[in-house]
Amino acid sequence: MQFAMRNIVLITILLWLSTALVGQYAPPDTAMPITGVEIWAEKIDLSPTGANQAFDTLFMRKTSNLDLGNFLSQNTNLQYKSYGLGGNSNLSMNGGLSHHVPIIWNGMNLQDPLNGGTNLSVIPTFFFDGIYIQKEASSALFGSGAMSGSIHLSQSKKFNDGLRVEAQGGMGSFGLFQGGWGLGFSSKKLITHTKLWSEKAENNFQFQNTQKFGRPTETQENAQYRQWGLSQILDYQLSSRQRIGLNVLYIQHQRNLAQPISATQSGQNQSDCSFRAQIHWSYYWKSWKTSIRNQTQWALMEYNDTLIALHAQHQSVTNTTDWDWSKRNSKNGQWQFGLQHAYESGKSDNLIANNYRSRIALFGSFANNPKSKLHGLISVRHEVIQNDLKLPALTLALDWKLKVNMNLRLSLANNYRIPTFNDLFWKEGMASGNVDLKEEHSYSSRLQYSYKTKIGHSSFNFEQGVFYYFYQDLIQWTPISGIWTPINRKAVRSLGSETSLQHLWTLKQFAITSKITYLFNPSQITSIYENENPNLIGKQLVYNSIHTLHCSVDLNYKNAGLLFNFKFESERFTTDDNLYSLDAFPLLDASAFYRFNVKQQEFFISIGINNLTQQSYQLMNNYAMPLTNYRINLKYYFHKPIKINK
Amino acid sequence: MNSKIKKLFFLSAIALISGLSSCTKDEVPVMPEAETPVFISNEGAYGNANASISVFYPTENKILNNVFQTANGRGIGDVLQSITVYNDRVYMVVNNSNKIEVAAKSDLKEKGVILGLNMPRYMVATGTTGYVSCWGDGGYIAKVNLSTLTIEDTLHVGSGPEQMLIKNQKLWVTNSGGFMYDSLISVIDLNNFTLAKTIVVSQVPRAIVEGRDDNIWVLCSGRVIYDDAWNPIGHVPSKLIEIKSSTYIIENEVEAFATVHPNQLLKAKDGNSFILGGGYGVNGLFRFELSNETLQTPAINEESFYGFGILPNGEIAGFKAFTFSSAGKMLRLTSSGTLIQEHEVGIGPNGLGI
Repeated sequence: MQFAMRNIVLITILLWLSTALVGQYAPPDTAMPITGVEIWAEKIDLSPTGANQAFDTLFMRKTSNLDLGNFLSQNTNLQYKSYGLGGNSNLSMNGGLSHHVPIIWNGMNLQDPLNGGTNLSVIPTFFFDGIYIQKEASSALFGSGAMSGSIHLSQSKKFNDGLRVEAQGGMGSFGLFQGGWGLGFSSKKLITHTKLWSEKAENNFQFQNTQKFGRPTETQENAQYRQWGLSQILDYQLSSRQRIGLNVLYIQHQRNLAQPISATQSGQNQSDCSFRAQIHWSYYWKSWKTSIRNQTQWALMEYNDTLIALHAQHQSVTNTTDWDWSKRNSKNGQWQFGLQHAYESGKSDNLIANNYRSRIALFGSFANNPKSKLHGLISVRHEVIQNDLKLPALTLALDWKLKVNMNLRLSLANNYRIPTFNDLFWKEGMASGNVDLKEEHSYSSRLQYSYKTKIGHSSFNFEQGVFYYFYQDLIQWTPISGIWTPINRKAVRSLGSETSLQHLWTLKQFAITSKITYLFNPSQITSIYENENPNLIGKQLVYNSIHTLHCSVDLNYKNAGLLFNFKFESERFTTDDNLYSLDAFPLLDASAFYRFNVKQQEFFISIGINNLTQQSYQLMNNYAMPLTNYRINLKYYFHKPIKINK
Repeated sequence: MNSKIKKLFFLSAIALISGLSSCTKDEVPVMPEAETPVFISNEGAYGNANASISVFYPTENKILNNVFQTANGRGIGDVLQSITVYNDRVYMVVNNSNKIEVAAKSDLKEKGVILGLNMPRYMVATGTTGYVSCWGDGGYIAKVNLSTLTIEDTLHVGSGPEQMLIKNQKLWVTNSGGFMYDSLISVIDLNNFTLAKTIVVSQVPRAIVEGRDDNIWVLCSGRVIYDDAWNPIGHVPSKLIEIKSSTYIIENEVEAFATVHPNQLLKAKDGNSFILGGGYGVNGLFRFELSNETLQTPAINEESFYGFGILPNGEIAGFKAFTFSSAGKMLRLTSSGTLIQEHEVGIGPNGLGI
């Protein structure tokens, strides 16, 4: 394995050299060849204003190659949970749980029907050109699951863009090696872009085991992983009015599962394999567009515990078809309406039986002219699941431009999530599903004020948001009589405020962007069902910090830059009665980059140092996290545009 | 200048936050010296490693929670299955951490750890040797030197060995089956640590106590029978089985419940009866009179307990676990089952060590 990874890095370097030579005939270009991306937004967006956060191609190039979980953990104030380097990870927002935040890839939901989650540690950010965090819930737009917000992964699709080549290599602490390659070509009628990614790490970091007699310094064991993946985009312009396309995402990830620090041995390992494919056809007529999209998602997970000779296999398939009509770019507004059918099936050694369900939804949205002083969006979705008609989900968002530099935004939504197959039918020694579970509902509201101003070389952007989420019948896995079982929490109230101030200072070729965001978010159980412990009322939901502070300073001078991310999370409770908690912790990460051009070729060198202050901390109870560690990445981009005859 | 300000800002923030995070809310408990403490094992949630020990002082009617953590600045581990108090030490059998933590009985300060065990459940001791039942490796008993805290020998028994009893240099082991089911009692000769006898009883033997006339009683929990789709389709009844210790012959077999499966059996302080109950779906504590060998109904207390114990004064401590994500309760009951008082304990209380 080590030999193979060395080869990968070597080949990457060779590929850089070879493409550097190939690119030398291109005309010199002093500007950075970074162009805007055309995001394949399939739903009418909620507004980009408000507390939503976007990361573009340039930002992602400057930072180290991270998996999606670590990327979002470093650069946002979302609540991140991880079982250690390479281990399963997920995140939550707005006082909800991880399964309330779907990952949306090119407009379609990647949540697994078995567990309702998406493991963020197996998703390399290398495959994507943009990451967008929507902090407003909307089941009306994204269906079951989008109860707290959503995370959107997008890929650039631009005709007449020419040839693009990219190669990346990286290495880091604890035996980390990474390699990525991309080759894209875009003409007037065809877009094709292929990306490959490979990564491995030993994760043999040292930590002090505070749970063992004598508090020994130990080396993390059984935490190695390796993965590779493929991303393919194919779009073809059939005529001036028709376009078809294919997107593929394939990821294979094998890892050993580190034991909690309270355990003395582990023989667990897990293998994840997922294949996602989207095909779409679009027809344009004046300002109308109709699209048919189909997404197939297949996931296989195999779990082994060599200590107790346990093997379990879990497999799921989801097939989703959308047919929608939209009218865009109209002064009278934008319309979208359509029909979605989804078929989900799950097969597992731990399910009572193989399971499947069929879902049909009608959806529609209207947004008035975005240039209006009062811009509004209303969206509705009505879904039938296995002949059971659900309550309609509704989203309403209003943007009021008080002044040119002042904006007020209100969003309201009711959302839902149906129990997963595991929630209902899981059965094994230490965990059991619950066929009596009710579906979850949330009622969300957010009021956001934003103000921008410019003073001299400085520009300021201030945002203040307050939000209220009311979760009804929230599904939470809880140990009951020693058996982990999902139960409905009758009511959970999440009330919070988020304040951010961004400052941009520029002088000639020097720029400093600094941003500070503070989130206050009590999320408490307010009502319980019979036979539950009454002491739980008023208690904070587990693994949700009340205080989160995130600061970033991004210094850029000419082609070099330095980025600091500081994050503080207050204590996180690990039991429902809040008697046990993980300590609060601050984390400071830094990265530096330098880029230079050789004709149409662009080189990035970035160095990332994580946990600069040697902070000992845990994101999941009793799972060790590494102290200071580093990553070095070399990135190469070549772009040869197509000459268009005017 | 700017970089200095930034630096100052970050240092201030880190200092402030480090200060906040280092605050502690644990109150250092003071353990009364005059009275014999009763140790309550709170097993914690499986996988969460939040097991703890509560210490109860019956005369003072005082309870201290999370004592091991407070005394040592660390947790016990994952799933504290049982506590054995022997001489001046407390042995904490931590099932999912595959170890036994050893602490001083006087203040629960850590004294050592026994490692190398595979899913340990219970420990009994005699002389300088402890015997630990372990579910791992098909089920075995580990012979532990309590002076060196090392494993001297192991002996395979049935699957899922649970509670044990030492009588006349023989170690009696119940074999519950662990994650499946078994029906065997293994008897080990402690003179040479070899298997002396295997006795077939009823399904899922879990608890074992001394009765009268050198006889031994075994609680067989029975079980729910499921079909392939995990639908319950029947029950193996729970039984109390009396074995003559000298001959290994089953002398009596009493069906306890047709559809209820208690997992704990303890002798009342007066020695004239057993109390049985505890476990999922078991509503109440029941008395079994040894004089007429019959199970008394109704229950002496109808609460559903996860576990229970007999206090030194003969009172009963019933443990309610609620969910394993919040503190449980100890219900102090008279010997006849009447509630005296409630105390909050740790997560998943399951039994006592005295």
